[in-house]
Amino acid sequence: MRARVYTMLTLVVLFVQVFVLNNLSISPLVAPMVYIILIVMMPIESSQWKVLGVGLLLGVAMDITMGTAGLNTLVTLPIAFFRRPLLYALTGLSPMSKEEGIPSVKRLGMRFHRYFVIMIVLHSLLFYFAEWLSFDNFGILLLRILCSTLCSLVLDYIIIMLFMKRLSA
Amino acid sequence: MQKLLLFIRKTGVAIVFVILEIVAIRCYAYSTPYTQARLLVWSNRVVGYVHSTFAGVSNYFTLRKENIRLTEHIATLENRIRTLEASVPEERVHVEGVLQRYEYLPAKVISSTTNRRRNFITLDKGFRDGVSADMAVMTPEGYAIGVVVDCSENFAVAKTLLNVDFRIGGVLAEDGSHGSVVWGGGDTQVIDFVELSKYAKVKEGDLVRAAGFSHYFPSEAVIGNIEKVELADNGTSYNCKVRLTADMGRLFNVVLVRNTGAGEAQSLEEKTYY
Repeated sequence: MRARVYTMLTLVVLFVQVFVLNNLSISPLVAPMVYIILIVMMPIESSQWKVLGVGLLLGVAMDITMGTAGLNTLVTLPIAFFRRPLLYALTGLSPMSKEEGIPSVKRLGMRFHRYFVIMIVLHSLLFYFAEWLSFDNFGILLLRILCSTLCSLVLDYIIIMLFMKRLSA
Repeated sequence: MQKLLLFIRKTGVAIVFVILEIVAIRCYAYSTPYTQARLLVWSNRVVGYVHSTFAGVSNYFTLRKENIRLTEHIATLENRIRTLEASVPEERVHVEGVLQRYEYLPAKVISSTTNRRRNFITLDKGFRDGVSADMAVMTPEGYAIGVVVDCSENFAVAKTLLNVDFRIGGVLAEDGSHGSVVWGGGDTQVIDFVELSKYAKVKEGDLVRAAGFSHYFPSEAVIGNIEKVELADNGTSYNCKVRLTADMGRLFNVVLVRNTGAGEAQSLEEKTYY
């Protein structure tokens, strides 16, 4: 059941990212990235190997569809690799705990929001710095990070609200 | 053996992560000339000082040779000045400063590559010294080397003629015919001089200079001598092989050249042409 819902979540996220957000041209300051929630929302018990594998596949897929040759992969891999320690640190879970399933408010309480927001913001920061590679026009870079991260967060929350009930079941 | 397996099991994921990350960074860096130059500038902030120390040591050993070469060059230049002074009427000499289009700045090469398809050199001068993108890089003798693509506070990165993405205008010194100079990625001392009109009077040994209209190099900058002449497949132009005069593998002292009129000329061209 969970696998089926997770597959649906993956399809929806990829569709939104590839066909909607990648073609969005509201302003050069807004370029939301929602695909990272597929890493953030992986089951708590997922091994580091599994998360890294998903991170690699996701990064490569995004690079192919965006034509960015490595940018998404190099940003997604550290998020995938450090997800486990970050999850434990930000939610107060212990590596010994037997908690399983998709991270959610029901399982992790309000600390879920802290974990969720920090992961998305970290990914955005890494992505836009790696894309810009320069501190020239720092103001515009900062504004781009701010607008895009806010937009990503809103979209991410909408997507997980749609799926949370089924995923936490 | 068991300990080794245990170690791999414990650290395997971290090793795989580092390897994948390096591969991703390399893919990204080589995807466009911009990312390549920016990442080089970033890494130079860290390793530039180490490079410059090593370059300083190796420069010390070649100082004697360099001194002799520079003294000879100064002597040649002095001779040229005397000859020019003798031939130019007195009243025209004083306007030279007003008409000067190029500014020169000496720099040292602290690292360089010649073994890649896109080769760069790192120089010990940055924007603090007045370096900016698009400045030409030449040897003190006036041989063309490349163009600055990016600079940090203390260092500059220039793409050299040995960079497949770099194309400049070239001109046959004797005939005045124009063509494009571009490197095909093979021999590091031989470069292609293509799109040269089939009506050009070209022969082996002819001198190729940088075209003044390229806005980078002064028109006296020497690229090399024609080594081989071939008619292109379409029969309308010549494709020539040019042996570079600058020894790209042994660059120590270079001169950065700024064309002070380039911006004005380019904006005028953009306004008129497009």
